[in-house]
Amino acid sequence: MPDEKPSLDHEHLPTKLGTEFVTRFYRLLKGTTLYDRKNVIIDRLTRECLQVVNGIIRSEGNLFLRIVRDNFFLNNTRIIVRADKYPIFKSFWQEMRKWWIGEVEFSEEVNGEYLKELAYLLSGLEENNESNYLYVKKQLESRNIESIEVGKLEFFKDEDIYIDSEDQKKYSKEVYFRSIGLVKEVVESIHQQKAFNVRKAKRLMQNAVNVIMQDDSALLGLANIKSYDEYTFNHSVNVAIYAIALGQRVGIPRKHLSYLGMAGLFHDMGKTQIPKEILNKTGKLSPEEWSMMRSHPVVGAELIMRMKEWGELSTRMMGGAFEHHLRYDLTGYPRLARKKKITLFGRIVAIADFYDALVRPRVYHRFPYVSEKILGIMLERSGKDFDPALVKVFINMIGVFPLGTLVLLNTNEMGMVTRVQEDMELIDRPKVCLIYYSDGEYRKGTVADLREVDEVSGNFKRSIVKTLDPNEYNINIAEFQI
Amino acid sequence: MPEEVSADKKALDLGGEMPVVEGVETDEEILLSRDLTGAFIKTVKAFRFYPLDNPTLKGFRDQLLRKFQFFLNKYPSFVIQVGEYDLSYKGKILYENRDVKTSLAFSLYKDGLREIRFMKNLEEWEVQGIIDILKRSENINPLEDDAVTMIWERDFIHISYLATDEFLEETPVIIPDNVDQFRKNLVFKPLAHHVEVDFAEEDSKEGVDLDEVLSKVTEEPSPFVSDRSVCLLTPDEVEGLRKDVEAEIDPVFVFNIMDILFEILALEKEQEPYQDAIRTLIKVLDGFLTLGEFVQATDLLKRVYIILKTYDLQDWQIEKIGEILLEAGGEVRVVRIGKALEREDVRLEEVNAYLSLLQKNSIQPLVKLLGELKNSKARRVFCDALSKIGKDATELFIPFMEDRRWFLVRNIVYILGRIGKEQSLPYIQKAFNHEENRVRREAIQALGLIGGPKTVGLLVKALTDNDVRIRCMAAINLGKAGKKTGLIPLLEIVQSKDFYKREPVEIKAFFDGIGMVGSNEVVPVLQELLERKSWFGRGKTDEIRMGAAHSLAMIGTPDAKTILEEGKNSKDETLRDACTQALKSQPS
Repeated sequence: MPDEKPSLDHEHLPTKLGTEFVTRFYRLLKGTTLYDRKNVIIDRLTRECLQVVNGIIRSEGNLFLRIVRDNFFLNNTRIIVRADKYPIFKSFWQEMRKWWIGEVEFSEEVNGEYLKELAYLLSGLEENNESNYLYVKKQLESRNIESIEVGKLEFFKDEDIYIDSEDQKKYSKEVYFRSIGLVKEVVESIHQQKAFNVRKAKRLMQNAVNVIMQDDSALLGLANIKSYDEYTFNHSVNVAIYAIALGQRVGIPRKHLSYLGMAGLFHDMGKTQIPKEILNKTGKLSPEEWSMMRSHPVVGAELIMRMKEWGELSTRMMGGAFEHHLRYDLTGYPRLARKKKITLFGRIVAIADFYDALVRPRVYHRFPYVSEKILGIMLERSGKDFDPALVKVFINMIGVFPLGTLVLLNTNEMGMVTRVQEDMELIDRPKVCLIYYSDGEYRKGTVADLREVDEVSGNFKRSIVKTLDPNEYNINIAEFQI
Repeated sequence: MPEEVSADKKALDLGGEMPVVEGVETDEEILLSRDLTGAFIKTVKAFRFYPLDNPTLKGFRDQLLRKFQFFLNKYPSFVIQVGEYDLSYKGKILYENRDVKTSLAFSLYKDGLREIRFMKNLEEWEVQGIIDILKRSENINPLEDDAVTMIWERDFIHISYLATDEFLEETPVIIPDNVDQFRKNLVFKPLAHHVEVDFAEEDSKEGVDLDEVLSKVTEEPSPFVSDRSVCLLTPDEVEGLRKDVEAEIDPVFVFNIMDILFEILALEKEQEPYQDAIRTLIKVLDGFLTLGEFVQATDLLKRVYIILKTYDLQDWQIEKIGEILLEAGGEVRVVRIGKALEREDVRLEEVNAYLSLLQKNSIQPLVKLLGELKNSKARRVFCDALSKIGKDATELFIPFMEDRRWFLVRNIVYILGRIGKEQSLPYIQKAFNHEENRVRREAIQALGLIGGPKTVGLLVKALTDNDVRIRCMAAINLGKAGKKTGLIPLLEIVQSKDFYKREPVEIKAFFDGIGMVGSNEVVPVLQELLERKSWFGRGKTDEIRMGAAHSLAMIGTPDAKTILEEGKNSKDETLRDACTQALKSQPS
């Protein structure tokens, strides 16, 4: 009896064609926001897109792009998104979601004018209007464009698709703080030698995956919180979030992303068996204490083995716990009796763990700041400590100006990065929340998109001059996530 | 209802929870939804009730799929609201059951499910998937899973749901609403040394001074700020990541746990976690055997042997690890092997490699399975493996010599023969008296393999057996035994009056036996038999002459060869032929 989802061939033509189409079409859409119809750049972008569209129609008979939840389908075959194309697909998906458009179909070869018409129609749509597809249909009909059709985006309630970003933020907060509470609960269960609630952890990680797949900026922003409650709890949740976000970008499917989240959440479980005096000791450790600290990956794996029956999930959780200090070249710990390749999950958790541990206050009562210097260390150590490809993806994910970075703009305004740009060409133009000083405190202002161009001069309205140390202003950027 | 349902099963009421409709429902959509819900409930119940291999289940499922397709062709979706004890569609209750033990609605409701939506283009695997989940939902461990987590994991394309996370609120958690609340829970502590331990090398006794590292780096701008190309993935890296993801999501990935478990065995000094690791390794072994992955199973056992040989282990560790080897040949695993052998794609040489690593405790279950194997090649593999495993434990095979199944007894005799130990002789002798000729023949073969003076007496006895094949085998094996004591009875028989009347194959076997002993002392007897006047007419083959000549050629002494050379030139045609052929048959 068919009880498995049909497997997908990663190498097949629809993936290649679909990727090409989405890439070109998205570029065209972006172009329409910057240039008018007669601009030569628009003509070029249109030509490039047309070549792909008509090529697909000639070989396949038609081109039907459909978005179902977070999946893309070309002519009813799923497109597997490659790690390097993830940013474009993500941005494209966000735009289409904004317009409530889920289907685009070309039933026969089209000309450049028709394609341009479609692109300008879409980019001019009102945000969050469910009837947009009807409007586009009517407009196309009125222009006698019969070979192009659009359809509505179907949302499913389990995804809790929040068009309203405030709802998104609220839900993300719930997931984040409940996860911290869960880790605390698990640690207490371990100390009391009671079974812990895997089901709760699964639900929370599944919710985290849902949130991150829609828009990871809220949870990644919350991962800037570094000193909430105990280090282990806070750190474990942050590692889970970074791991899921990174895993998504390399193409790990949904179910396995939740396993990755679990692996991140429980990677430091072994530390629950280390006495608190050693765990919190600020002075130098004795050799025995060193040895005990270094045993935590093995102890963690053993704890998980005891807590959970062997299966898909526990294998990955054990891998996350055991491997996260091995290092890419296996010079870490524990020293292996038999060399082996670290699993993908192990390498991802290692990166997330390192980054979060480094980006935390090292001095009492100091607030952390996200620094590209730490990413620089990781890049320098890639190939030795970290998987080089994963480090690149991670850096692209965190961005040149990561979420929560305090920046000074050329307008003399201060801002905090609230959304990283996926587009590599505009990676230094994030969205920032303007911060102003009032009544003795720094407060949140409006959100500015640094891609915005002044209509008269054609220059960007705002640019980042430099990053700022939040401690100089006594700002805890984490508070701006609450 | 299927006809094969037994009397007690007839009590299963698959439609009992559908509410009675008062009056007549005229809304077509509601009528169809009721019909569909009824089919849905019946199918779930059938899957809960009948074993998976029951052929009726396919019928239930196919019918359900057809009804879904019919409904979804007419209407865009089918949305069921899940109440505490009921399922409804557009406000109409279509199913109700207040018994918390049996109510499908309740089992979903308590897991947080509030709505299930089925969309157009629903596929067969999705229908099967949701049935599987609902079937399992009554037996889920609530600490491990629920219907919601299972539905989420399936990643359905055309089925979605609405669920609450109320149970997450069982443990109160403060979700800070404002900055003040947030600040209250902030804990500022100096960085504990253990974080720096995490960044140290394995051999280093000192931690890493993070401040020093960071302050150094602060002076230099990070490369990726100015040059974005350092963060562009190369095509090889993209492909590498794709392969890594594929490997990670492959179901056999679960066996990767083996590497971690072996590392734990190398590192761990406490008994309890050690035992946990052993237990899990045994489960991994079970997994391999169930899937017929004998190469992997063999590799696991080899690694166990390597650990036992190369690691410095305490007695209790050796004992614990030894459990794996014992379990590898235990009854449970052997049953799995038996099931795996039913597959067409199983490679017997891989099975053999696994079996050869088993210990004595596997003898009994393996012999039990041997008696059930239908494939003769598989039986051969088992017999050969058992002869290796049991080479110092022949006594473990003896109970099976009394088995009612002659073919099993024959296999045991074969094994004992290959083990080749004299202590098996009494049992082989018993087998020699078995009522089944095939067992007796095997016993003769076994005697030949065991050899030694004690076998000669038994083989001599067999020379006068009623069965011609046994007589032949006895003669050959006497020859193989190479004892002169065996020659006398052989010679007696070949010189007997009516020996020439025996079948050619028997005549040949006896002379071959004589020839294998290789004694020059028999040359005169053979010469006499060779030169004796032929009782056969011209043109007929004289088997005696042929046999004698062949025997002389096998003996190969100068005396023997001289006789043959002379015979080659004889005027007697049959004599000439016999000697010529005999000389040709021997390597020059």
